[in-house]
Amino acid sequence: KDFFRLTSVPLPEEVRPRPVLLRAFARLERLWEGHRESVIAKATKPTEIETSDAENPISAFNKEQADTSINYEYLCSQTKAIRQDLRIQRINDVFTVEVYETHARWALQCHDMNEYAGCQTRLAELYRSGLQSRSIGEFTAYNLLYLTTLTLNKRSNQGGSSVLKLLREIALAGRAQDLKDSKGRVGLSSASAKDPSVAHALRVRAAVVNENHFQFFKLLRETPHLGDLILLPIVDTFRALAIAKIVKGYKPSVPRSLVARQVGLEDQSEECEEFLRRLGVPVDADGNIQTRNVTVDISRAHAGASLL
Amino acid sequence: MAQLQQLLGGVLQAWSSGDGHRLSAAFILPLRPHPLPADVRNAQSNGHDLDALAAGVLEGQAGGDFVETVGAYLQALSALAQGSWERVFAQLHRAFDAYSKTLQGAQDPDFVAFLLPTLKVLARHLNLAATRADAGAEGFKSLRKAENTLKNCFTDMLKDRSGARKPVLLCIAAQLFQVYSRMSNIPFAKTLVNTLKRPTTLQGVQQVKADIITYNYHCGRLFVFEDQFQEAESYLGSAFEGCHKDAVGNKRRILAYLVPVRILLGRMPTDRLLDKYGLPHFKGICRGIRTGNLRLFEQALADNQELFIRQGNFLILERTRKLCYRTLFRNLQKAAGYGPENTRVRLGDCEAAFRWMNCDSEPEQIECILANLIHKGIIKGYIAHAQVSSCTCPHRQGRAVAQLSMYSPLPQCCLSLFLSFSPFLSFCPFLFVSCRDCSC
Repeated sequence: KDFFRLTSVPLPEEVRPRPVLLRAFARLERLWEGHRESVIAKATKPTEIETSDAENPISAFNKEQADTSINYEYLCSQTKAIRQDLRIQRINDVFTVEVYETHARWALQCHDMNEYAGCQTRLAELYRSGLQSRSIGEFTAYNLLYLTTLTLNKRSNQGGSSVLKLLREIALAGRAQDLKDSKGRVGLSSASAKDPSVAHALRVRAAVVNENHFQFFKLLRETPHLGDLILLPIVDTFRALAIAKIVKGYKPSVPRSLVARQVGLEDQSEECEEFLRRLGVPVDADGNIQTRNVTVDISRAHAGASLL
Repeated sequence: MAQLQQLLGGVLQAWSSGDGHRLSAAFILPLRPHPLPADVRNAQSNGHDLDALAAGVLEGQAGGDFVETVGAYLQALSALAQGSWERVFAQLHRAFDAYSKTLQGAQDPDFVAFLLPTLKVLARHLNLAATRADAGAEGFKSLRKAENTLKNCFTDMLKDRSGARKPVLLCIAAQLFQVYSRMSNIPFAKTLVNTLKRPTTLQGVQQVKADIITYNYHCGRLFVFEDQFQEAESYLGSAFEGCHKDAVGNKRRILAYLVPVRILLGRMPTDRLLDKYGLPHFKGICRGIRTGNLRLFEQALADNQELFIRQGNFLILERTRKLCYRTLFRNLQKAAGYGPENTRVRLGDCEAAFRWMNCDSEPEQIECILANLIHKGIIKGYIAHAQVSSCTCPHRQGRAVAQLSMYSPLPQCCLSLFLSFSPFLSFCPFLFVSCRDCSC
């Protein structure tokens, strides 16, 4: 019911108590359910305002203001307001976890990776402090997948150590019958560690590290929950790398069908053809790719602007 | 009281003697049961003010800051007797700050040289106390404070133009490394390394060997985490070689990182070496790689996974799987009777090998692995399918043919000692895996 505002010192009158927050959040959830399709569609469409109204910033601004329909920004800011109120009042309970989880899911579906990452960190803290939730396995899997995508990004070397930490938590949890570890802190429960999503995420991580593209794309097809949205940024790069390897490894030619199978694309599909074309891989009439002197330009893997 | 008096007397003597090492030896932090802390505690509970005591003994001999250092140090001992590491840390922190001030005020280079060894000792104590203080608690409060203090100290020492303070830089850096690794934040130390790498920083400064080794160890670890294996190897290697022959514990720690790095670069440790330093968990992996036994490799990796994760080696060791594949394919070629003349290997045979190893043996998976190896240059060759169109074979028996000219041998690891390897040879293997016909 409030707008999101960055305040320095919160005024007590403006902070909503828990019951009100519960209702506010329920309202947002209803909105999401009702308008999910349109919200996602609007979020994923590239903003036309920038291109067409480049010279006319004022009209663009007016347009935005007039657009009062439900969109992701609105939901996001509303949820952030709720999160802020919770934080101020130090309410750290199951409801908080629920808010963060739901927000993370919405962020994923609308491809807002920054927001998702923020929610994820906070969720990890909350889980570590002992709060349990139904979806702890799901989100642990997301965390692992997200960190795996980070390791592929050369610029950030942080991924490696975070992955290790998470692996250790999972391994410990998998072994332990009890929830507590030696310091009395509650870690992941053994149930969550055995969660199939986590197992899947572990296999994905292994596939990425071993550059096992076959395994990776096979697993990609079976990703539970919203995991494939997290992996989306690296799929293209990985695919291009895989094709580069195949092209180098097979002589004198390799059937396109094999390539397609190895990288999880449908053979003879639009997507496949377009991808190969973008990379500069020539396909001849029989559907074979002649591999002599073909260099694959990996930097052209992504359709739009580069993501990483 | 007796112990306390002894201590204070010792400090006074050391101070007036002008021997830096003697002074540093006076500041002990006993971890095992020792009469000193209890004695100090008793003195305090009997109403003696420890700071005043220190002042009384050192009066006229040393400056106010040093007096404060000693006073705080005594308080730390007292807290130690009470078992509260947090208070120990707080006092040691105070001591360190006061001592830094003493050092800051010192102008005469001889005096500075006199003061330096104690700084090292105090830094080490600080580190220790911070770790213990944070052991039971959430978060890293003490370690962060220690980090800040040490960082400031480092910058102060660095800024000194006369260069008199530089000998202690490596030690402080090493302590900082430890703090960072306890906070699981090793990449933070990068700035330190960059500073120390600059040639002007350590030019012409005598370094204590122990410091150098510690620093090299930590630096090597940092590079391991950053995937810069060549650098890591050089640092860890020199650390290992520089170690005193009796420092088995240290050597073991270095080896824990040096072994995986060297494996990745192609050199295997001998079993004898692993036994000598108590590193049995690497044995399975090494044997697996050496013989191409994928099953053994995976088993060893899985069994010791937790240990490796804790040490931070796990990710590196996963990469050595490629070497295992390589040996597997090579042995496969030999076993199936191919030689230098006939260099084509059947894919079907590869599949059989993988199946025997209880590993995933889907043909496409094998091809993927091979493509990876070829791409990395670990195997030279290519995969080719025969031009048989529209033939689907249920069994995939296929005649895959591989051309193998030469694998560069991993240095004959079984026979030579780990340390005396010749410079690493680059891989130059050949394998053509080609022509899968459908047998229809």
